[in-house]
Amino acid sequence: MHSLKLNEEACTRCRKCVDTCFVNALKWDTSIPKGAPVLAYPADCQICCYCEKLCPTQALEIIPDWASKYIPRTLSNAKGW
Amino acid sequence: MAQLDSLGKVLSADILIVGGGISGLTAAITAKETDPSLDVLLVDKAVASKGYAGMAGRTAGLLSFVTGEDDPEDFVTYNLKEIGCYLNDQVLLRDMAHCSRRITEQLATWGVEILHNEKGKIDYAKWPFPWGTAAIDPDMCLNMSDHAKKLGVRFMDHIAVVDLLKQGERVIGAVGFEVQNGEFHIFKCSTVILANGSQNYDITLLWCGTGNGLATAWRAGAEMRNAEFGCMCDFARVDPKGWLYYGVHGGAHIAHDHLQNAKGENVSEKYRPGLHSSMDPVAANAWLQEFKLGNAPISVDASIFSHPAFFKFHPKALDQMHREAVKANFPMGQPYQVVPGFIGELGCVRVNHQMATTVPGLFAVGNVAGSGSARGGAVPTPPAKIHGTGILNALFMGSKGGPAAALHAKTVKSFGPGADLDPAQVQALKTRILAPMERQGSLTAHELIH
Ligand SMILES: Cc1cc2nc3c(=O)[nH]c(=O)nc-3n(C[C@H](O)[C@H](O)[C@H](O)COP(=O)(O)OP(=O)(O)OC[C@H]3O[C@@H](n4cnc5c(N)ncnc54)[C@H](O)[C@@H]3O)c2cc1C
Ligand code: SF4
Ligand code: SF4
Repeated sequence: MHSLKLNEEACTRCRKCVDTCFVNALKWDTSIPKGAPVLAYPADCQICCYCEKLCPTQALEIIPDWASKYIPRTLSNAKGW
Repeated sequence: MAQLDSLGKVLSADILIVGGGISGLTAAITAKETDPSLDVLLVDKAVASKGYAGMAGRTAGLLSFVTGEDDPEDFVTYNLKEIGCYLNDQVLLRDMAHCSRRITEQLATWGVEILHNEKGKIDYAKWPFPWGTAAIDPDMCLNMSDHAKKLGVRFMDHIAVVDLLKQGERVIGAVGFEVQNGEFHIFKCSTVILANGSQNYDITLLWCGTGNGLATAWRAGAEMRNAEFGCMCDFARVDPKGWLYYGVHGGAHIAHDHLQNAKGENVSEKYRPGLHSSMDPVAANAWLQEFKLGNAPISVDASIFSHPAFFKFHPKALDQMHREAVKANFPMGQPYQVVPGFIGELGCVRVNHQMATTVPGLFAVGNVAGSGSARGGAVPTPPAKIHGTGILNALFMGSKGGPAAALHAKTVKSFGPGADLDPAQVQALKTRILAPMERQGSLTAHELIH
């Protein structure tokens, strides 16, 4: 599934990435001391790259997993294919 | 009110707008312009107050409009004959043709940038359609939300509205919840504008409307129209691993007119000459026939992107598309193989020429009522899949629905304080809406779909 790679040092904890996500796939993880963005709903991520683009320090990267998406998986599950 | 308070956070407004993409923001601005004394509250499950909500920021930034050198009647005729199979509401279609230029020019006063030429005029391509297509800043919602705030529109972020409250036939409020902490919210308002997008969830990336606005309207008893036109096909790019990429990630949106077979022959020209608004069964059949003749793979001639008459994009849109293409392993500058795929977009809430639904007090604008407006005829939302009409559709419908909703709210207000909300009705909806939180071991939405 799609994932998020965070450069801990570069992240300023501004939370802009969470605000910019139009499908609420990103959440702010409060379980670690400084907090961090987390791709809480990876299946909802649209690979729009908006969070990456607007991060003021280029601290995050969205890594798509195309194998988890789209027809091949569905077709391989379907009968007759 | 004490009982209501115990059920959730109670808020009131004259007009509640659900959804802060292009259409919701347009409705908010034009409602306020119509009557600044009205209290307009815009809620979105994403962050609309900063302009990040909706599909606008993820678009290709192409805006279609009828330019000064075009005859609006040509736009009407093209839509009727080439796109809508004569099933269009011609009055609404003509209205849009005639006011699209005004809408486009007005955007500058809302702070939205459209690329201009050196003569200071809007720069547009007259190709491949017989009207203009200009490049618009895909961050237009940032400017529009700033403008709306200046006019006094109130915003609440991370609020998902689920159902409407009614007294008899009339809408008197809505209920929903805060998406991050689950807090239940109760809205008292005489007028609701649904601007919360279409249904196309998990079919094509970026086209990600969950259709919950349609469900809200349906449960409130609103009539639907043209739901049968919610599906269509489009080409998808297939990579060597057999993975399919649709839409912007696929770069296959213009494929239908530029297909070539393994022999290098122009398949589109052979089966469906000329330029077309979208894929249709003839184009799908062209692919199939060539496949049967042993002429596969069928690919797209990527040189089309460097055609001098091709649309110009806003630099921000180009940057956005480039990032997405890189993520999707797009073979830049190379021909790429395509197969007929599926794309669907449903927006079937029935609205009249003022964007009023069949439920008194309920209006719907933008994608949620795209095909329900019947403006586009036999096509899915946004009508139709012609480059640049999604934004125009959202702007047009928003600028019709905002003023009409304002007049409605003003009239209701003149009759005195609105109807009291019924705590029993709110309680019943709250129980139903929050029921999934109580269930153990149920399916996720993704598991249900696949
Ligand atoms: C990748 C892509 C490229 C495109 N390119 C172009 C183009 O170049 N030109 C063009 O004209 N059109 C284009 N379009 C289409 C165009 O972007 C859309 O038609 C238009 O933005 C729709 O606006 P809208 O306001 O109707 O809906 P949306 O932008 O979908 O807004 C709906 C809003 O409602 C919110 N919402 C949903 N449900 C709820 C709820 N229950 N409670 C609260 N809020 C809710 C959502 O968070 C969202 O902000 C493109 C679309 C995509 C996805
Ligand atoms: S936008 Fe960038 S810097 Fe800010 S919280 Fe997100 S990752 Fe960190
Ligand atoms: S890529 Fe887009 S959808 Fe995915 S987390 Fe970032 S902003 Fe959200």
